[in-house]
This record gives sequence, structure tokens and C-alpha cells, in this order.
Amino acid sequence: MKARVPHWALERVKGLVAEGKVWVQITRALQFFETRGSAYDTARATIASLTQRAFAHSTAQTQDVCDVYGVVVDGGWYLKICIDETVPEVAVISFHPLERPLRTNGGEVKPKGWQAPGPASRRGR
Amino acid sequence: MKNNIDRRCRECGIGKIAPLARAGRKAQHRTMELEIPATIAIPTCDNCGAEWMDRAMARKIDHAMEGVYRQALRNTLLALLDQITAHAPMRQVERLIGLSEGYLSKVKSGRSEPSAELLSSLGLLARDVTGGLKDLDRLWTDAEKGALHDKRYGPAPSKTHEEQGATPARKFRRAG
Repeated sequence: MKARVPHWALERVKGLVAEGKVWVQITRALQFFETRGSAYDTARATIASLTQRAFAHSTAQTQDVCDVYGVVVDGGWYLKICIDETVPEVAVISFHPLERPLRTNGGEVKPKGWQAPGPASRRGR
Repeated sequence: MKNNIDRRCRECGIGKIAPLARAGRKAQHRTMELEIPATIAIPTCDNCGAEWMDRAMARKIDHAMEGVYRQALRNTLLALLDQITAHAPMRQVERLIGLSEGYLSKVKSGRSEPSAELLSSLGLLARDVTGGLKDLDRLWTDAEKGALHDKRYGPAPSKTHEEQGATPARKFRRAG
């Protein structure tokens, strides 16, 4: 099966990150970090180490196309980014622990401590 | 970083991001959820309220929150010391927690900054000062005797050289 390709070229995303051109909205992630600085630095480092294997899918926001990645931070985390061409810079729209498994090019990334639902819930009860 | 650019919010796709300073915003910082100083202007979407930041803004907010956090630690410490010293002398508490004599007085007077670790210990102790101090006393006695000891981590503190398995006495007997 052919690997999915992100909308925003990873080389360009990483290039902007290397220049420090990252703008993040990570309110939900803050509870998992001591400070905003450490949350920001983790988000930035995570993007810097992204590979196409971590790519899951692209998704349409109101006026943008964003790329979703499943990364392992402390368990599986959800990362959604796009490039704001008006600046340009990488906008990190979501960065938080996964709520459910996410299928990526490299396989399924699971939330920390994830247990598959039992047979009863699979029957839709 | 071009901070004077009009950015559209990438969260909702509708609003514009502009610095917003207001009272009543709360955020987690280290161990507590505290109010962000009302003077700090955070880039905020005027439609969905999403807050955005770059590294400089993250550090600015952290710096402001650190001051708030330090003050909250001090206030909490003073309240805890009042509770604890109503039941036990400060010197006894210092000894059993492992602090140098006079340290709590220093912290109380503002000559030293309290840490979250110190507050954690005092906070637990304040729930039951008499019982807690007895438990701490027992803890150190048990530690001296090796009662808490797990041999994976080395010999127990009270064991003699022979008890640890050294063989000079046996070698001497063999030679004899």
C-alpha cells in the first residue's frame, strides 16, 4: 500500500522550524508540561524529528489544509500543523495526547495505556 | 519573528489574532493552576479565543507566572507552618524532614525561597502533625535498622563487614 503524502512538504516544515518560525496553539498540552516554554520546546523538537512514517492524513480546516501526525512523546500524541503562508511560519494547531489510536504510514500509534474495547462495545451495544 | 503581522487564526480560520490583556485568565504552571497577570498581553483570536505563542511569548508568560507561583508557594508555606507549629516545635519538624536547623525560620522570614518539594512534605505533615511526626520518626528508625532495605540496592546500612559477606575471617581459618 502506497504511503500517504502530507500536504505540506516535510522539508519545508522542518526548514521553518529550524529558523524558529513556529507559532503554537497548545492550550490542551499545557497540563502535561511544567511550563509553556517546555511545552513549546517539545512541540518544536517533535516537529523537527518528524518523518513521513508518522504522517496520518490531511484534513480541511475552515480555510486551510492541515496535516495530522501520530507521534510518540509519552505514549501516542496527536499533532496537527499547517503552514501560514502570510508570514510564512508553521502553525501548530493541535498537540495533545491521542484519545484513540491513529493510523499512520508507519502503523497504528496508540494512546498511552490504551486497551482495545471489549467484544460488547464492538457489537455496538 | 514578525510579530506585527496580521495573523488569521488557524484554529477557527475566521478570527484575527491580536494581543489581549485581561484579568481572569488561569493557566497551569508547574504544580498549580494560577491566574495569569492581567498586564500580560497574549496573542488571542478575537473569534474563538484560542491563545497563540512563539518562543518569546512562551518565555514571557513563564517569567510572569513564575513570580505568581513563587508568591503562591510562600503564602501556602506560611499557612502550613502556622498549622504545624501549633502542634510541634519547628526544630523537631526540621530534624525529621531532614532540614538544617533554622531553615524553616529563614524561609518564613523570606530569606530563603520555599520549594514545591518542601511544601509537599509540609502539606502532608499538616494533615496530621502528631501522627505524621511519629511516622517520620519510625521511618528513620526502620531505615537505620535496614527494615526497609531491599538487597538489590546493596548491603543494609547497619550490617557489619562480615555480615555483608566479606571473607577475611574465613580465609584466615583456611590458612590455619
